[in-house]
Amino acid sequence: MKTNKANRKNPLIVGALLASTVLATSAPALAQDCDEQVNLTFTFWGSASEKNDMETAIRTFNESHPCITVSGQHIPNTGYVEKITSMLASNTAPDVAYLSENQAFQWASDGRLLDLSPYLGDTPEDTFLKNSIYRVEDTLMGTGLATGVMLIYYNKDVFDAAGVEYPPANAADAWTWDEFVSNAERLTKDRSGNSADSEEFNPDAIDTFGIAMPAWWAGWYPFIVSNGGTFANEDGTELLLNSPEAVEALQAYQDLIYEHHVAPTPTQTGTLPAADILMQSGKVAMSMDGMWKVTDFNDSRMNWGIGVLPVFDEPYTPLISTPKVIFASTQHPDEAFEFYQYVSNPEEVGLFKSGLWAPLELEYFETEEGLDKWVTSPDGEYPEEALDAIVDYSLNYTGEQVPPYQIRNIGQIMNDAVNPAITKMLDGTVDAQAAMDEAVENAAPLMQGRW
Amino acid sequence: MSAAGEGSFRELIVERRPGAGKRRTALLVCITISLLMMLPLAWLVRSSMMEMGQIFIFPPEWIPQPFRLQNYPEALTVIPFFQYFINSLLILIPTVVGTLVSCSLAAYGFARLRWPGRDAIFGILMTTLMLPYIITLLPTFLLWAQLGFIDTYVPLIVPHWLGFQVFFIFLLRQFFKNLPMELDEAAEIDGANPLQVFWFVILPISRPALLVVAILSGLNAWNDFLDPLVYINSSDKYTLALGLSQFTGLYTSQWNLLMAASTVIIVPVLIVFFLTQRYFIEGVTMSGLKG
Amino acid sequence: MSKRARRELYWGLGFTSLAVAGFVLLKVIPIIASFFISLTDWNVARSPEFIGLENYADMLISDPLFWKSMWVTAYYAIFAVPVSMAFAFALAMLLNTKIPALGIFRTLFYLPSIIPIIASSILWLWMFNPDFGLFNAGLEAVGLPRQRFIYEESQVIPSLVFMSMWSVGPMMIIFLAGLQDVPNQLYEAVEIDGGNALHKLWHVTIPMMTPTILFNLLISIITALQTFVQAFIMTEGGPNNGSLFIVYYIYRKAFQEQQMGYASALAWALFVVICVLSYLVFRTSSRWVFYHGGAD
Repeated sequence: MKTNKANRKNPLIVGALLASTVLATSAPALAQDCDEQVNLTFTFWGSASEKNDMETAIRTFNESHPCITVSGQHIPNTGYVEKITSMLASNTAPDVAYLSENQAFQWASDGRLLDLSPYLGDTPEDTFLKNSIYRVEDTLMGTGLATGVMLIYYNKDVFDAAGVEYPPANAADAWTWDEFVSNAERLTKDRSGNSADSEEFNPDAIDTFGIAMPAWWAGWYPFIVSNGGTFANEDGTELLLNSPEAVEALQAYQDLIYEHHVAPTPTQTGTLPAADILMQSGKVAMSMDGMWKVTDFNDSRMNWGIGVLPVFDEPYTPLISTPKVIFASTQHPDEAFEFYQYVSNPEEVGLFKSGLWAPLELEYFETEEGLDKWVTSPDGEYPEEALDAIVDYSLNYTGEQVPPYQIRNIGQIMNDAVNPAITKMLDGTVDAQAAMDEAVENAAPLMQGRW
Repeated sequence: MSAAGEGSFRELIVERRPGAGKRRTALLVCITISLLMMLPLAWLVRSSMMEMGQIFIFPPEWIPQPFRLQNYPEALTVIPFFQYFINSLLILIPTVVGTLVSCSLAAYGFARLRWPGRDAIFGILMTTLMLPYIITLLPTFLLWAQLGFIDTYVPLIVPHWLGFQVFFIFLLRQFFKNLPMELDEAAEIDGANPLQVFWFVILPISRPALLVVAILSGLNAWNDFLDPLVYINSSDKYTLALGLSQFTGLYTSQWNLLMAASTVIIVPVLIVFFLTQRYFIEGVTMSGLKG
Repeated sequence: MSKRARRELYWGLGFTSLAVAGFVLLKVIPIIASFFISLTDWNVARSPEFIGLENYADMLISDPLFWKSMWVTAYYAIFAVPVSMAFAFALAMLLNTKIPALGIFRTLFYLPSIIPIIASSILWLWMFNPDFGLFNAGLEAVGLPRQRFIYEESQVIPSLVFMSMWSVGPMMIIFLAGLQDVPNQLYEAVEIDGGNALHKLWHVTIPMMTPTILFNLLISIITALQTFVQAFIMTEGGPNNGSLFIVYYIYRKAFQEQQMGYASALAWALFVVICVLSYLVFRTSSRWVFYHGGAD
């Protein structure tokens, strides 16, 4: 589908326009009393269930907004960035889109994204989780799509069998790192049933791992912050991943694999199935993952729960989101904004109740009516500890907006410097200090400051 | 390739003629290699029918227990198989026709007509055989975007009417070159112009080579991934290959479903292959590649 | 120019016009456009900014990944081309003996190559799985240590070379066609001279096969240097950029980091390398390729 803009610009595609109009008007929406039938394009990615729910939401939107027809384009995650890049290059950008941070900040700064301050006001911080708001220079490019914090998921049956207490759900009671390690050791079992804290334990024949950790930044970054470290300096010109605080946290992370043998190597993790399935088959006892996995765990037949991340100094979890933007090229900013809000509205989109998305607006975290729209909704699918482990955690322990969102050239920095070093570290070829020294050195020529 | 040259199993076992021992060894080696080469496919099918739990057992088991055929309908609900199948055909058929037309014309011009600059132009065309696709991808995309053909099959088809895959020009030229020149000369003496020679003399006897080109270009179109990814936006226009890639994004590490979906995409190719392989292999054999 | 010559020129141009038009529209113009893009700093979102040869200077002087990706690609090609050609040649030789069920074997050997690369990449990814994959099961069954295959930098390229052997079908068929065209008298002559199988291979088969070898050599070089889907689907260029094929690197620069100018410069570097290489192959081919018969 094309945007109207492209159609006006180019008489050659009148045929395509005609075709799309026919398609549009054959939809159930009746074009009564409309000054103009507005067609919007919306691009998104996501899993199968996300796709289904999103398509349902779009259909409902189109039915309740007879003058607007949104055509949703689901693009596979693997091809999303390139697809949007191509669309932008050919002036066929969508009206509303999910966008990854790497592109969003650059394009906002280049003026390709609509400044949403006329719609969201100058202080959206008053009504939204502050870390879900994206600003570049003078542009308010908008909010995230939804939010999600990093959590510990666990299989209660495995815990019960090992006689280990469940991970705390409230950040104030969070395990220290040492408690976390010793519990993980008690949960890790070799094929003869010895746990990792016993002397007979055979690390070469592990059957159940205590914890599965993600290798992407959200797996290790939280512990750096918890230990008082950070990603980069204030002006974003220098990576600080080799600071003592960062190295201590990363070394502890590496030690989970090679010192304590409670976590699988990244090779194992990368090739293992998703955490819900692993946990269901008893291969891991705990898994660190995003809040969005609630929906997958719900589909499993296991007795599971969620808890907060272990702590070095301060409880911390990153509030992860994805910029949701309106392209400046849209011909219908008002209608686009209407849809923009609709997509992230827990009252309209089922993904909030099903445990894929947490909302953006404070009212859904702070008021009972708001919570009833998702976490505590009768048809919601959250475990009871979600009020602590998701709601309280998101509100009070998510610190500043995660720096990977705000460092210029972050895509290249991660691709070329940080990820290879983390990979080496997790492979066990070098220790955290050596890996991070290398990352900092390789990143130095790539650092271009902060947005 | 004639069937007459092939021995039978019985003959080989009983036979005492010289060379039988060598042939027996060759047969054994062939059987071993065949088994090894089919192993991945056995692995594919085996995985496609397993439950998630069984797939993650080491050492792996070969017999699904239970047979979970449900994986297939599950995989197919995510990929609207029939629609993508039709879409793939909608691209494939005009692509093949266009390739045949443009490449055989060009190959004839390069192989059997003598004209100044012929070999230079052919040489230059052939260098594009080595042209990395990636270098032209973005500018070409911009061109189609300016013409307003994004999200249509036009950018996927039209290039093939312009001899896009120069490899096929090369292949047909090799074939044409090896046909006796007397054919053209005789026809020219009868007053035929080159187009008539091409149409009435050369094409009819080139059927095997054309078939090879048709099948190869059809396969390419069927398997193509990057082009549909770049040019097609709407999911109802996806091809099967693109649909499968979408599937990998949706079901990371659900290997049983991934394997089921992969099987579903492989099967039509296999069917066509088994139906046409005799012609195809005969075609390659008869095409001028032997020099 | 004589009337006849002019007429032949017109016919020649006429027949080749579609291909030549395609060449100009789909190859020449995009290449030129690509060159101009390579002289700019362009992230798609804003207008391109002319920066002269800066991208090229960056690439050659201060981008270790450029050299790494060149190295990875060369490393792969240097192994994959001879390995897959030798394997295809051996298979063709096997099939050229008069064994029973020849047609079935030919079909089975050919079959893997028709599998869509996206499907075979997913399949091989799963077989390479260090924990639950087919290959480690095999290694363990014969008492060898498990390997990490594409998940370890030192093994990723050999693993992908191994994978490339699975789909040598077309090459094998073309070799087989060539083999069947070698006149039997030549072998008989070697036999009369008391030559053994090796002599036949070296003095008859290979010389007679040189045109076919040239053909397959070109095709497999092209394929190897443009390896992309394996990196895209299976390894994402890793581990530690150990499978950062140049085409994948270009793709990443262009479409994931939006450095269109820089990506175009990289593409041009690859183009130059390929031009030099194909020139060398064609240039030397007259020395080792023996054409018999044919129109020329």
